[in-house]
Amino acid sequence: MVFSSLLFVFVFLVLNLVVYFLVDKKYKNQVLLIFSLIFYAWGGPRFLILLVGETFISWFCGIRIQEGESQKIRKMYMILECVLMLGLLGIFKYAVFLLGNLQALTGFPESIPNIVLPIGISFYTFQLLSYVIDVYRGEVHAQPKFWKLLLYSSLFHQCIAGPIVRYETVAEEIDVRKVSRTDVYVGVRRFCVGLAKKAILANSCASAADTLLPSGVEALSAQSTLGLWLGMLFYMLQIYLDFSAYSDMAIGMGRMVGFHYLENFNYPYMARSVQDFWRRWHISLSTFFRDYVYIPLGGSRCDKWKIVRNMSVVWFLTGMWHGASWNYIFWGIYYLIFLLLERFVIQGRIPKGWNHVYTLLVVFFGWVIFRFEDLGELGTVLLGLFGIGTSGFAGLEASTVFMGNIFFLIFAVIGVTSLGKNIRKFLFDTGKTNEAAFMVFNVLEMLTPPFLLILSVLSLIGASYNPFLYFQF
Amino acid sequence: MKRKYTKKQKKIIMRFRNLSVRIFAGLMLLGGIVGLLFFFRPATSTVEKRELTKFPKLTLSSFWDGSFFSEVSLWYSDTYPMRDRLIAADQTLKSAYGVTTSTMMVGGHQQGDEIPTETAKADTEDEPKTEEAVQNEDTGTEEEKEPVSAPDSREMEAEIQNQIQQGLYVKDGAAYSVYYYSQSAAETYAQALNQAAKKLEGQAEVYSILVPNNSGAMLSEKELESLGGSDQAQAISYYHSLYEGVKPVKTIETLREHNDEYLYFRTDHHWTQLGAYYVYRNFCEEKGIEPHELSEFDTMTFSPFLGTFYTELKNQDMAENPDTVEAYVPMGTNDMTYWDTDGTEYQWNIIEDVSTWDESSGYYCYIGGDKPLSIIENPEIQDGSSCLVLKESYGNCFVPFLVDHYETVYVVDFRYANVNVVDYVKEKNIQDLIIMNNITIIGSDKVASTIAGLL
Repeated sequence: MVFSSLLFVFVFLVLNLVVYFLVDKKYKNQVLLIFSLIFYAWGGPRFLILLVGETFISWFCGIRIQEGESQKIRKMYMILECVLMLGLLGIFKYAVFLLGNLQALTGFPESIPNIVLPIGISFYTFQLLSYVIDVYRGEVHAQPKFWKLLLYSSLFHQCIAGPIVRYETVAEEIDVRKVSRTDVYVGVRRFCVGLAKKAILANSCASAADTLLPSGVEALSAQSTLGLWLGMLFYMLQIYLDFSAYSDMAIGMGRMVGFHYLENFNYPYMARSVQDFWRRWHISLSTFFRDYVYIPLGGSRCDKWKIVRNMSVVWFLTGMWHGASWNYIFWGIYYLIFLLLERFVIQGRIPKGWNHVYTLLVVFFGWVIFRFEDLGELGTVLLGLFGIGTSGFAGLEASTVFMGNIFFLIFAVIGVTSLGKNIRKFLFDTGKTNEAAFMVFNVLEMLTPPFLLILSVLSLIGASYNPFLYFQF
Repeated sequence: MKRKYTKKQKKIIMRFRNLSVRIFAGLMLLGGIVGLLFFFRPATSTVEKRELTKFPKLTLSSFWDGSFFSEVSLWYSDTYPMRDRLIAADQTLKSAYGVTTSTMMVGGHQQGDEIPTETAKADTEDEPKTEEAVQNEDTGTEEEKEPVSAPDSREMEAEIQNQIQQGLYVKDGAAYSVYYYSQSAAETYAQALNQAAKKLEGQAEVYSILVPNNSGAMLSEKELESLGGSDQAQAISYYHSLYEGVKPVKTIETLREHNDEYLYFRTDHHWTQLGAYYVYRNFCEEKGIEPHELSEFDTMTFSPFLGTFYTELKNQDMAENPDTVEAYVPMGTNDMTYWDTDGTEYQWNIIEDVSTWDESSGYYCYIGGDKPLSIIENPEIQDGSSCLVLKESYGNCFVPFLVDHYETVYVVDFRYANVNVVDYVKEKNIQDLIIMNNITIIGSDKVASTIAGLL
């Protein structure tokens, strides 16, 4: 199930919240667990076995590590966990890609099995890995109850689209959590903001991007240069709005029931350098790689070449994590190059203002690499953005999409900046002494969530609009 | 100095926030309850002209792989109570996204194949590549007047929609579909017609009517060129050059001559019956019969008509200036019989009064829309003459003109029927097989080979 579906909002979430707030305190976790398992099973019950299985392995390894008498045994279970988790991730996510490449090179194997990617495997596998490694490092206690660890790994707020919540963040809240009225309100508001970001902004950006960037080399080369730029701009907006919307909804739903997940995004398109961008983008993934790969390898406290090696490993893996295809690996390496440049060559010498432009351009071209899994399409678009091989500089279609979305575009661009947050803060601060600002602040606080909810629902229903020529009754 | 909020102020803030949470909870519950009103769930959508998603059947495999659940999700949102009204509200909202310019282009990232010059035709003509497609159809004898439902007609409709919507050029409240030529589809199509002509040699004449779409007939040369599609006149004449034993009927030249008249709808992808009339005259000329004058027919008018382009684009200019459907009633009879996909027989009117239908239905007035098989008997002609029109919806407004020239007119829509048309023509002793298609629609390989499969 996805958050941005009518069934989720009006059936699943409504039932979940009603039951959750009605049952006795001691059963609240059970309620969450049952709902989470149903949520996960919605994408195909067969994958539930994998989620439960991985959690069981991790639970078992965690306990063994904690009770392990010698360092050797403890290490053995930690390694066992890593091998099994990464092995399963490898089979389900990368086997088809690796075998495909092997086949292209050597002609072997003759047929490639058709493996379907289980929903959320990249997220929950990393969560479970972090849990067991943290137990090994003595940073958290092993969870004695299997079902509680299963609650952690399967919790529908974050199970399928992040953020990658560390066990230590929620370890205490699994057992004891308090929900204040402010928590409920802030959670509701955050959820509505996320839902609106997804249902209204991201989906509209996606449809504009898909219109301007059709699939197939032939169709792409029929696009104009400006059309490609505009299409990629919509895609750039879409990918942030979409991804951060899921995090917003997860954080919001967590907050409603007393979980405090960490922020996953911090206005990444306002970054002043590529490094800054990655401190603001998908923070839970960057910190995962920092804590479990980069620092264990020696981090930055070693000689220059080791730093380069460590960064290379991290960025290769970051690329790989996003998908089993070459373009994601290129995408990781692309960022590696800019991060190395910034560290060793640029060293913050780009003047203020221009550093924004530079960062946005790097990120923009990064998304080009990210979008096109087909390398032929990727090449066509990269060249086309520089006016090579397109149907012309501007075209009627691009101007139609531009004019038809001009107010929306302005709004979406504002939406990825912190302007909204700053206005709220301004009203909040001035409201302390200014009666009018105080009222405006309060009315906005009250109306924002329901208003966004209504608009989002309209958008979700509107998305099913599918006029079919020739279809008749 | 930073001031803090006073206790009283904090209380006010909390009051507003609590109210907000209550409104949120109320809306969520309301949405949930409305969603439970099963009897209010619509089954069809008038605006979209389609059946909405049905509640899926639960099978072990659809349960196990999750497709059952995704279908349930789809069903839930697709049939949400009052969806037509909610969609309209959403569209009003979306219209605030930007400005609609009077000239627009929607879609259209295609490049048509190069149309060969007619001298190059010898290279392509001998390829027997469509033989298989032509032969693989089951040619078992059909029960009298009983069409067989085609399992893949949904897929065919989707394909046709793709074809039509590859590129829409919108100007001053009218949409024009851009045409993209496909070499392989042209070969498949022409070869299939040649084959039919060969099989029917000495028994029946095969006529081919290739109708251009509105851009080709109505737009100026200069405008057409700027849209980047393929030249329809050139394409049609290339199709004609591939024919052997098939009689081509002139279309695009005549339509262009009259293109200051109301030949195509502005808000719908079909032509008007006036457009069909000019082609009917050309057909008469080719066949060597005398056409009737327009003034001889009784007419019916349906207005306003906002067709498929409007449904797709929701263009304001179109809404302000809708189309009018003018229908010419055949003199001999206005009665017909058609059989639905499940074989049920219906008595209908050739020109049906659709004035009480909704405003997107105007074009349905002609021969009951698209049916697998229709038969029109004209009681005033008793000479045993008959023709069969193999068509898609472009043929609907053409058929009424044929009624006054034949004792029996058979109409087969290639998307819904899988009778072997050549056998049917032989069996019924039909003298004229008229294959009538819109040039855009047969530009798809899938559509072309479906037609080939019926011949």
